[in-house]
Order: sequence, then C-alpha cells, then structure tokens
Amino acid sequence: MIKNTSLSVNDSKGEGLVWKLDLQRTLYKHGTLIFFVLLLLLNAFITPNFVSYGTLRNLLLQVFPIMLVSLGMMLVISSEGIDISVGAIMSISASVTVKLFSLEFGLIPSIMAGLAAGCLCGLFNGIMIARFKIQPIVITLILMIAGRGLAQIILGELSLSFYYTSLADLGSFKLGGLIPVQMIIMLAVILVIGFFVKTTVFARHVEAVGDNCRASKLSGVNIPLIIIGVYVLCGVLSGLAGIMEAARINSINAASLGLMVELDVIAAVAIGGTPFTGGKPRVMGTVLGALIVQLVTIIVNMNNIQFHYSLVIKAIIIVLALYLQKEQA
Amino acid sequence: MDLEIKKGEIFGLAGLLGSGRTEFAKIAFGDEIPDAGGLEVNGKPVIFKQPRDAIQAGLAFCSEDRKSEGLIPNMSVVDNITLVILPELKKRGIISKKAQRKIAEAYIEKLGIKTPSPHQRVKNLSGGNQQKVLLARWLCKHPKLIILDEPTRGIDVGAKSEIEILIQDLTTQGISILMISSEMEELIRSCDRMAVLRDGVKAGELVGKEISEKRIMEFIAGENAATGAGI
Repeated sequence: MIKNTSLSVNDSKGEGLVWKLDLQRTLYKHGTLIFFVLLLLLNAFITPNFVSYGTLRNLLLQVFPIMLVSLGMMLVISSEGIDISVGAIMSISASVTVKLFSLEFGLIPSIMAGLAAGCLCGLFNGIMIARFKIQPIVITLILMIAGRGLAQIILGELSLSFYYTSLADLGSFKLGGLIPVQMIIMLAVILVIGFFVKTTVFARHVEAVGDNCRASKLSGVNIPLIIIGVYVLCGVLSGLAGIMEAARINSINAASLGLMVELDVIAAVAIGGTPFTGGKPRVMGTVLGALIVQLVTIIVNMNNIQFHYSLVIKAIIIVLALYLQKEQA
Repeated sequence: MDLEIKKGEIFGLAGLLGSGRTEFAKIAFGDEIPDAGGLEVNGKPVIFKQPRDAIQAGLAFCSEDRKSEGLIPNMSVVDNITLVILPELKKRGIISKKAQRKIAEAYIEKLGIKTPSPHQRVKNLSGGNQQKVLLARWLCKHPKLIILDEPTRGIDVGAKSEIEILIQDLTTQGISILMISSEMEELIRSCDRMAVLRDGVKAGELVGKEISEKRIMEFIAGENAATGAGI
C-alpha cells in the first residue's frame, strides 16, 4: 500500500514536469505573440478608447519607420553586428531627397538619390567594419553623431517644409482612397525580407557568420561581402523610412528626424528573438516586436504618461527580452 | 619545407606541439600567408589569399578545434553539412531545400551520423558525430585533398576507429589526405608516407615500412637526442 502511494506521487510529479516543459517551450516559441496579445487585452480594459479603428490606423501608420529599420537591423544583429546610426541615416536620406526635390530635380530622381545616400552610409559602415576591423558600435556611433551634422549641411538649413507638393502628396497617398501608401510599402518589405531570409544563400551565410564567423571563413564564406551587405541593406531600409517619414509630415527637421529610433528598433529586434550574439534572423518576431514597441508608445500617449517614462519602459523591455534570450540559450 | 602528396595517399605530419604542423596546414589552406615558398596543385603554382581560393582549387580543411573553427553550433545538421556547397544548390537564386536535404541525408547515412533528426542543432550531437558532420561538409564538395588536423581528438574509442576506417575509405575514391596527429599509433596505422616536423622545418620523411615509433621519435628528438643520451 505504501508502495502504491509513492508510485502515484512519482507519476503525478512526472506529468507535472512534462507539462511544465511543454509550457516553457510554448512560451519561448510564441512568447512574442503571447506578449503582444496580452498587451492588447490589458489595454482594451485600462486604456480609454483603445478599442477603435483609430488606434489600429495609428499603430499601422506610425510603426512604419520602426518596422522598416527593424528588419534591416535584424539582419545586422543576426550577423553579430549592431548599427546605431540608423536614425542619422534616416535624416541624411530624407535631407538629400528634400533638398534635391526643393531644387526641382523631380520626385523620382530625388527619392532615388535619397536611397542611394542610405546605401552609401551602409557601405561606409560595412567597409569600415569588414575591411578595417573597426568595432560596429564605434563606427556606427561616429556616423550617428556626424551624420546629423552631415544631414544639416546637405539640407543647408535646419528644417525645410514642402506643403502641397508631389512629395507631400506621396506621403499621404492612399490606395483606393483607403489604404495608406506606408502600409503597402511596409507589407511589401516584410514579404520581400521574409522571402529573402528563407530562401537565399546570402541570408543563410549571414546566419552562419553571426553564429561562428571563424568557421564560416574556413568554409569559404565571403565574410566582407556578407558584412558589407547587411549594413547596406540596413542603410537602404533606413533611408526609405526617413524619406517616407519626411513625406508624411510634409517637412523635415534634420536634427530630429529619426532621433532615438535606435532604441525602438533595437527593442523590436530583441523582443523578436533574434540572438544578439548572432544567428537566426527572426522575421515574424521582429515584425511583432516593432508592433509591440509602437504599441507601448501609443499606450503611453493615450494614458497621458509623460514621454520620458516611455523611454524607461522601453529600456526595461529590452533588458527583459535579452534576459529571456539568455535563458533560452 | 618541401612536401609532396600524391593522389589517393594518406600523408602524415608528426611532430611535437608547436612544431608548426597546424601552421603549415593553415598556410596550405590560405588561412595564413606564408613568409616564403609556394604551393602547387597538379604541378601548377597557385596562390591562396583566403580559404575560399583553396576550396576552389579542391582543398578541404578540418580544423583541430571543432567548436571554434568548424561547427556552426546553432544551425541544423543539414545546414552544417551543406554549408560549403550551398551556392551550388540554388535554382534561380533560391536554395533548393529538397536538394539540400537529399544530400545531407545521403551523407548522414553514408557516414553513420547519429542524430535524432537532420534538423537537430549540431551542437547537441556527440563529438564523434560532430566530426562526421564536418567530414560530410567537405566530402560533398568532392575535394582532391583533405587536411585533417587531429581528426580523432576528443572522440570516444568507438567513433575513433569508425573515423579511421572512413579516412582509409576516402583514399580508395582517389582523395588524398594530409593527416596531422599527436597520436603516433594513429599515424603509424593509417599513413602511407609521413614527414616529421621540428621547429617549423622538416626533420625527416618516412615511407611505408620505415614508419615506426622509434624512427619518428629519432626525428622528433633530432640532434638533441645525442646530447640527451650523454646525460
């Protein structure tokens, strides 16, 4: 009889353990999604007017720059790098586009030039890191600071407006009078990056370099090409985000466009589960991460909490996400 | 230093730690730049600026340090096996997952790699199976010469003999092997010819029946042996 009791105790213990492991795995696997849903549910109760079309529209519209830059940053972080110059690149690209546009170079050439500027910034970061072996955080910090100055030099002044022009029209264009252009671009970029990460040799090599750079080199991976490639992609996406942001608000302030976007973007990638020690890029995770970060900003605004609290909240979220990443590894 | 490796033979490199065996291998593979001297493949002089060039010329290199110079720990067995030939597996720029899996499964079976699934992260495998994954990575590239630096270090006895048999097997396919090892018995068992290194230079070369522990030790000890004997 005693034997029986002890047996049954053992059994229930075992089951409990299995259940716990299962729950842990589910939490790790879908943690970002669960967090996103919880955040939505919580705010449906505590935030006034949260459940409305307006909130959804704001979320999807305002998340645009964070989303684009996060997907670029995801690739950089996947290669075991970091790019904190993304905000400055946004400003540089937008300055080039707005300046050329104001000099009547035409809409398309101006935007192309702006994107080329983003590409060049990424090329600069990438070459400095891959060829001259400068730490990513150092070289991108330099561009982060110098880039703001450069943007103002290019623009020739601190800010410039362009109301009622074709560039301003582009920023508020709605497909069928309903779907904002930002949402279309955002969806296209997510799909393209998602496809790119899943199917290309380049993306697989990014993951390999991030996970073990030395072994990748000895297996014939072209390390400089991969490193330069990810920073260029990140630069172009940042440039596109900057140009569209300027277009949306019909003006540019070179000193403030994209300011502090680094924090949001790094938070989005961390929440998304891409390992900061390099490795598998998580596209859907990053998408959700960007939505969560923007949601936090919106919630803070809607509850009349002062802006600086949102910075602290985001910092806490980053630390928490990184801690969970470590636990998982 | 002057070495010549023929098709389908196992050439051993013996010597003490720090005698320049690994350095030689890394120079031959284009990972380190030599101060002087050159390499020839099939009688034609070649210059390897980076491992990529050496791979293109038909060389392969399994490092003695599996963990830091071999495995991509968090990637799957499939991805690790196909890392080198990945660019050859794309159709219109897209990796063919089917081809990737097919090749990986063929080598998992051929080399008897024990893994719960081809999609298992390679860091979860045992040492012997990890080494086999690295061998598979190079074999599917069909190299002419494989450099094996301490191929059985840190591997249990069963897997050790399996890997030795595997290496013998490769030579019948016409693949040449340059084997570096600190275990003399291993070299004596496997090698057709071997060189003994001392202080970064070749102290001597042994062929076939000459290969014995005694002769290797003589070369390793070199002139010091004479003075040593005096004491």
